[in-house]
Amino acid sequence: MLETYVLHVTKECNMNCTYCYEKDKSSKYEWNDIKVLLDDIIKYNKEFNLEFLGGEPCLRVDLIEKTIDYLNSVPDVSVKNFTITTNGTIVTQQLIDLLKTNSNVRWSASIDGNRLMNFMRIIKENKMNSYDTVVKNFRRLRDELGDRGNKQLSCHLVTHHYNIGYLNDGITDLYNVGFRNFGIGTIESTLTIDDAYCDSFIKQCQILSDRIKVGKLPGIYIGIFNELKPEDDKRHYIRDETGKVILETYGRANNDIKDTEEYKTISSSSPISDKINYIRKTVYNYHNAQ
Amino acid sequence: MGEFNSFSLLVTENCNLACKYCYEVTSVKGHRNVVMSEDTARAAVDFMFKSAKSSPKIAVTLFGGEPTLMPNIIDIVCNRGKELAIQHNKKFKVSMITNATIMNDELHAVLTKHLDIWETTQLSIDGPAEIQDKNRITKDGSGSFHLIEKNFPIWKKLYGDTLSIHGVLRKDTIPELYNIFLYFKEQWRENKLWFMPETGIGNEYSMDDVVAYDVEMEKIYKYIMNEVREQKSIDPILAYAPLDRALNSEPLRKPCGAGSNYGTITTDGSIFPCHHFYFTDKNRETYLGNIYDGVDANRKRIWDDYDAHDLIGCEGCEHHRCYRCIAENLEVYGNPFMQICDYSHHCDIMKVDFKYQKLIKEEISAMGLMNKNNEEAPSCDLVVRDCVGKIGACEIVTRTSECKFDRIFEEVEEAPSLFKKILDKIIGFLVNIHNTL
Repeated sequence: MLETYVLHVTKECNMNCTYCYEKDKSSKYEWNDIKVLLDDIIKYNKEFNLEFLGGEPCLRVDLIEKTIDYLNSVPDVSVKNFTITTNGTIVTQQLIDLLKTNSNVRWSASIDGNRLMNFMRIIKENKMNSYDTVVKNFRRLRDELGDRGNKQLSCHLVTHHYNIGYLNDGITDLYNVGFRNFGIGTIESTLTIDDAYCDSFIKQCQILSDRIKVGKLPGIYIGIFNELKPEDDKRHYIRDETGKVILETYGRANNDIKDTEEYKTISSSSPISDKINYIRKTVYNYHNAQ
Repeated sequence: MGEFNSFSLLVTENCNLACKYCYEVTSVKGHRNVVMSEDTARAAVDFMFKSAKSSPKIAVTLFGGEPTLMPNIIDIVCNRGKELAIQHNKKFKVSMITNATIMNDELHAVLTKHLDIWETTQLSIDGPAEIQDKNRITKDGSGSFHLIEKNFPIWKKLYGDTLSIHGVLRKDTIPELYNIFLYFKEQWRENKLWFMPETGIGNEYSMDDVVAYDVEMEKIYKYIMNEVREQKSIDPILAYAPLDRALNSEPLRKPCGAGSNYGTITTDGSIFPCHHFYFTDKNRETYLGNIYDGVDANRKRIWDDYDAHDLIGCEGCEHHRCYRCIAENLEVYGNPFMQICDYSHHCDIMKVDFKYQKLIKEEISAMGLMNKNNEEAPSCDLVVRDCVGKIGACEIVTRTSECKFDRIFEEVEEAPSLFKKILDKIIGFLVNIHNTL
């Protein structure tokens, strides 16, 4: 499995989601901060994936572009995929050009399902649910990218006990909008995950799996149905000298930037990891059973 | 899963009127020509008893469309309800929201037959003819007031003091509010009134409208407080709904029971959190299940679990728990819990109500009329007066009328012991008042 580094290009965000876990909502970074980090990454690792996160990374498409151009210019470094994990509300011409020029850059929008399911995702400026804006932006990108859209565009749903009962509705709704690649996640720290949530998660995923197996939703790709993340693959958070998390990494056990003296690293251990591992495994096994 | 024990039943989506502001009209492009079948009506009542396993009482509000178009369905619902009430040893109570324009022998006979289970009847009327006929028009465009005026004595004879009048104010009728209030109070002698500025998408108000509303509410407040002083009683406050909230003990845990203990059953037996959700949710995202297969607990959970802490209001506003309609919140923001704060002065209009509620509360406290029990009333889950005009238990401590007593008594049967003790105290107090009268 290829290591994925998660780079925060800004901690600022144009949204104010009810369930947001981020405490640092104001740190800003400039190209020099990022370049130092990139140089340290490639000192140890030449082949990896890179994910842009925030805050809202699309507030700094300039830094995303510089990062991609820089890494592409280093001769012995190969970044397989760049993923921009975005709230999906900011799509500029610069971003469109970036996606058109680089077929290994993916746009992954956070949208929690249908409009009702997405109610916790709130645009700061007008207090609106971001659903309508993200759908509009997705359609624009799909039109611009044509066939490549199926590969480069995806979405990620955060589920919790208020919206999990609607998961099938939400996937179907977004499928009808045109999304084909889906990530399904679970809220970890800001809402409670209980047994009823887990039961509902499994039940909804099984219904979805059954529908896919009988040929409904052709062309759909759902991450957790196809890949089971190893339980020991913990996410590591790398902090700068002030203690702020500047980089995250997962997908490889050791011997890279996180193991160096220069960076203080903590590995995550979510209090609900066991529950999440259990439901994911159950769903993966159900979908892949003969 | 929380259990449903209170329902609105859409016996038809048809209406003989075509009110200009009707959200049913604007949301589905005209009333849909769908009615509840006899089988669905029976199955709906069966579902109610299946749902309300532990509740001693099932309350159903006949709603539409215009429910009086369907006397046969009303009869079936009531008959089936009575039958099952005996079987299950529960109470089955019926209320209705009607435009009051229809009265005929068949309807009259059905309504008379079921007076024994009737709770309240809300007549939707905006004002005297010149107000009513601006917006509440028949399908041929003519006014509807003359129809109501003709029928009103019959409604009154049927339902007496359990009648209430609830109308809609619009931008152009806000300046008439006091006159409307006076008309029904003094000429029709009605004592349960409420005229509410219409909210929701598309209802734009200016600060001038807010000021006009304030001017009118001040007149109503003065009128009511005069009566309070003359009668040395807080009863006159109950005549006007937004002001009667001055008597609330607060805070309530939820704005309303929609989706939690309250659900709407549509003509085809679908279940939604309330009729407002049903009519404004064009993609049926809030669908909860149906009367045949039941309700999906995982879909219902959002409405069961949320409470005041989930509501996002205006930061720093002392009325952040002012409880706007969650279906309207969803319609406007795509978020049931994002309260409408700054949408076209809706919030400012609501603050006018709060202003006079606060004044009333202060004045009656100073007069020694705010009874002790009222102040000490436990915060309870029931809504004081919800969007369909139903009266909950929090208000009861100030009154001795039968239906309210009934309601609180049932709560006692269900309540934990501490709650029961407090309620016993209140009931003792009520009995004392009753005896002294």
